[in-house]
Amino acid sequence: MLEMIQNDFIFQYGFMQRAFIVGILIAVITPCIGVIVVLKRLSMTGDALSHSSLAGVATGLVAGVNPILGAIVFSIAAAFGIERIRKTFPKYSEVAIAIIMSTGIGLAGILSGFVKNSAAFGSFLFGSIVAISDFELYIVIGLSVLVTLTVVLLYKELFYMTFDEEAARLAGMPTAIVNFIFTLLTAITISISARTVGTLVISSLMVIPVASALQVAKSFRQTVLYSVTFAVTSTVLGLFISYYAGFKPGGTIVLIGIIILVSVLAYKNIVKKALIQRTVKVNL
Amino acid sequence: MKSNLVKTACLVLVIGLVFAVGCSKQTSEDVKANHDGKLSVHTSFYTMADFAAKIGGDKIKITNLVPSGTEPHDWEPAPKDIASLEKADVFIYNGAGMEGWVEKILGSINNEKTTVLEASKGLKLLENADKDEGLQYDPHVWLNPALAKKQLEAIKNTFVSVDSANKSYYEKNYNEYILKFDELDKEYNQTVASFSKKDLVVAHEAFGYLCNAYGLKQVAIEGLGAESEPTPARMAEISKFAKENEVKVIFFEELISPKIAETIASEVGAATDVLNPLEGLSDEQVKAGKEYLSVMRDNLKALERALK
Amino acid sequence: MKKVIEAKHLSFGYDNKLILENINFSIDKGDYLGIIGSNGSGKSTLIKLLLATLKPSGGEIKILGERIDKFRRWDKIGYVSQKANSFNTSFPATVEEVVAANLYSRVGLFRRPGKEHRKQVDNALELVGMREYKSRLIGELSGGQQQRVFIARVLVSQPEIMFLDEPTVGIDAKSEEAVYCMLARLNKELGITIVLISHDTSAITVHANKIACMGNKGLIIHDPKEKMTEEFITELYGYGVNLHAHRHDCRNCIRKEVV
Repeated sequence: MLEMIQNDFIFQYGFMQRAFIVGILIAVITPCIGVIVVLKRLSMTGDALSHSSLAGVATGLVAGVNPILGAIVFSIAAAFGIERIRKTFPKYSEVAIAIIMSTGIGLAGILSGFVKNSAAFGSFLFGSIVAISDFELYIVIGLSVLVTLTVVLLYKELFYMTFDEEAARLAGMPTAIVNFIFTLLTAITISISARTVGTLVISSLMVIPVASALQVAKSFRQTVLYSVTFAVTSTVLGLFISYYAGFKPGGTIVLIGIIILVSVLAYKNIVKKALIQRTVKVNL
Repeated sequence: MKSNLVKTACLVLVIGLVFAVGCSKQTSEDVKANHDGKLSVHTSFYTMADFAAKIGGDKIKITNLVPSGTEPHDWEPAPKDIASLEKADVFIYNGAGMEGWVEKILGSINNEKTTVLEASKGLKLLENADKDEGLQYDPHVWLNPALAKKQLEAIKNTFVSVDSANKSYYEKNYNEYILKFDELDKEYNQTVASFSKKDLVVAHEAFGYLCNAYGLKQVAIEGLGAESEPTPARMAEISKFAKENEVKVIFFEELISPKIAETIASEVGAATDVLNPLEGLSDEQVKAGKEYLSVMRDNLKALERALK
Repeated sequence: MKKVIEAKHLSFGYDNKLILENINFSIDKGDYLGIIGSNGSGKSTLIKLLLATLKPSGGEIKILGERIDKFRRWDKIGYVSQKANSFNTSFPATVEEVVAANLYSRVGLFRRPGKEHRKQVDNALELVGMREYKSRLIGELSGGQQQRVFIARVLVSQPEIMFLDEPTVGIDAKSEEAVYCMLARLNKELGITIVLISHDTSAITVHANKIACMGNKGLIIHDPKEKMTEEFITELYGYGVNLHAHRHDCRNCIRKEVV
C-alpha cells in the first residue's frame, strides 16, 4: 500500500495540486457564508442561486454577453429576490427559496434551448474540482481573500444580525448595508464556485459542515471554526480517497462530509449516555 | 407589500415570455413548411441528416431533430418535435444506443405512416469495453468510411422502397457518393501509413471504429456517453500515459466542454486540437460548406499534426 | 425636567383600519412608565412606532429631542421584546456573545471587541445576576434567565431609555418578580427611563411613576397613586379585575438577585 502511494504520488500532478488549493480555499469560505445562511434557515440558498446562475449563463450566451458575468448578475438578482420574498413571507423563508429555485430552473431550461452552441453552454455548466484552469485558480484566490476579509471585518455585525436583526438595527448597526454586502457576497461566491467545482460540492459545503458543527459547538465562534475545519477535512480526505480509490471527487467530498456528520451525532450520543450513566452511579 | 410581490411576479413572467416568444420563431419554421410533393424525412442528428441529403437531394425535405451545435447523447425532444415526427414519411436514426431518447419517442407516437430506419442495423458493432456506462455497443459507426457507406446504402434502400418513382435518382446519388467515400478511405490509408505514432488521447470514446479501420488506438478521458466528471485517478492515468508515450496533442470535441482536455494538456505540456466525431455541426460550419467528407478530411489533418 | 419622548397627534393604522388615533403624550427623563391595556389596544404598536420599526400614518414623534426619522443614536435606546417565547433557542451563541453583540456602537465597524468591552459585558451580566452563566449557550438557559440576558444585552450599551414589551411572558412568577425588581433598581440607581408594557397591573402600580392606559384607539396617562382603582381597570379591560395584593418589596428581592 505504502509503495503504491509512493509510486503514485498524488501531488506529482498539477491538476491535483490545483484541486487541493482551490478545494481548501472554497472549503474555508463556503462554510463561513454557510453558517449564516443555515442559521437564517435558508439552507437551500446554494442550490437556488446556482440554478439561477445557469439561467444567467444561458442568457449571456443568447444575448452575446460574457456568460460568467451573466451568471453573476442572475445569481445576485436571485439572492436579492430571495431577500425580498422572504420579507413578504417572514415565517416561511423556504418559500422564497423554492420560488427562486423554480424560477431559475425554469428559465435555465427554456433559455438553454436557444443557446446555439451547446459546447459553450456545457463548458460553463460543467464544474469539476479536478479540471481547474489558471483563470479559475486566480479568481478563486481573489474571491477567498474578499470573503475572508469581509467575514473577519464584519464578524460581529453578521453575528448580531443573524441572531436578532431588529436588535442589531436598534444597536445602531447599518443593517441594510451589511445585509446588502452579505447577499452580494453569497451570490458571487456561489455563482463562481458552482462554475468551478460544481453545484453539488458548493451547495453541500454550505450546509453539511455547518450541521456537524452545530452538534458540537459551544458558541457561535466555535460553530464557524468547526464548520471550516469539517469542510476542509472532508475536502482534503475526499480528494485523497477519490484519487487512490478511483471515485468521482465531487460525490466523495460530499459523502465524507456526511460521514463526519454521522460520526459527530454518534459521538454525541455516546457521550450523553456515558454522562447519564455516571450521574446515575454517583446518585446511587 | 402585496402590489410589490405582484410586480415582481409579473416581471419574472414577462421576462420568461419575451425569451420564449423571441426564440421560438426559428424552430417552428421547419414544421410549417409544406412538402411540395417531396418526401418528408426526419433525422435524429447531423450525420444522419447529411447522409439523407446526399442520397435524397432535392427530392426530399429534411427536418433534423437535434439542433446544430447540440450534443445528441443528452438531447431531449420537445413536444413539438414529437408532433412533427408523426407527420414524417421517413425517420432515420443511427441507433446502437446513440440516441437514447428515440425508443421513448417511437413508443409514444402513432408511426404507422412513418417508415423508421435504424441506420446501424446489421452492421458489425464494437462491444463497449466499459460496461458500467450502460451502453452495450459503441454507436459511432459512421466514423469508419466503409461502415458509413453501408449506412448510405440502407438509407438509399429505404428511400427507394418508400418513393419508388424516384428510384433512379436515389441510385445515381448513391453511386456517386460511394466513390467519394472510397476516395476518403484511400486518403486515410495513405496518410496513416506515414504516422510514427498510433496513440491518440481523446475527450470521449467516439473514435473506436475510426481507429479500428486504420490501426490506431484511442485513449479516452471519458466513456462512450455524454460528459460527466472524470475521476482524478483516471486523469492521472491519462496524464501518465500521455507523458510516457510523448503525446503531443490532446483532442477535444466542439460539443463537449474542453475543460478536462485543457487540464490534461497543460499537465503534460501538450497542445489541444479538435477531432470532430460528427455528432453535430454548428451553423457557421454548415454555412462554410462543411459536411461529412470535409470534416473527415479536417480530422485526418488534425491526426496528421498529432501523430506524424 | 427633560422630555426624552414626545408624541404629538400620533396616528397609525393598517389597511385603513385605525389602531391609534391622535395620541399626545410625553415621557420625562427618569420616568418609569407602565403601559396597560387590553389585547389589541395598540400597546405593542405604540412601542414599534417609538422604535421606528413602524412608520406613523400621522403626527410626529421626538426622541431625545430629535425627530424620529432623523434620529440616529439608536444605541441610546434599549428594547427587550417577548423574546423568551420567540427566539431560536438552538442558535449557537453563548451568553457573552449575545450581550457583547450590543456593544456594537462602542466597538465600531470593522473592529473587534477588546478587554475593556469584555469588562462592560461582565458588568452588565452582573447587574442582572447572570455573570456565572456567561459561557453557557443561550438556548440551555431557562426562560427567565434568557430574559435577564436580553436585559443585560440592552444594559451593556448604557441606554438612556429602555422599552420592554411584556418581558415576563412565559416566565414563572418568581423570575417575573426578579425582573420587575431589577428594572426598578435600574430606574432608580442608574436613572434609566423605562417604558414597560405589562398586564401585571399590580407590579406597575408599585414601581411605575406614570401609567399609560390604552384603549379605544387612545391613551391616557395617570399617576398611579391616584387612579389605579378597580373601577378604572374594569372600565379599561372591559371586565372585572381584582387588584391582587402581592407584595412588591424591592429592597429584599434586589439583594437576593445580586448575590
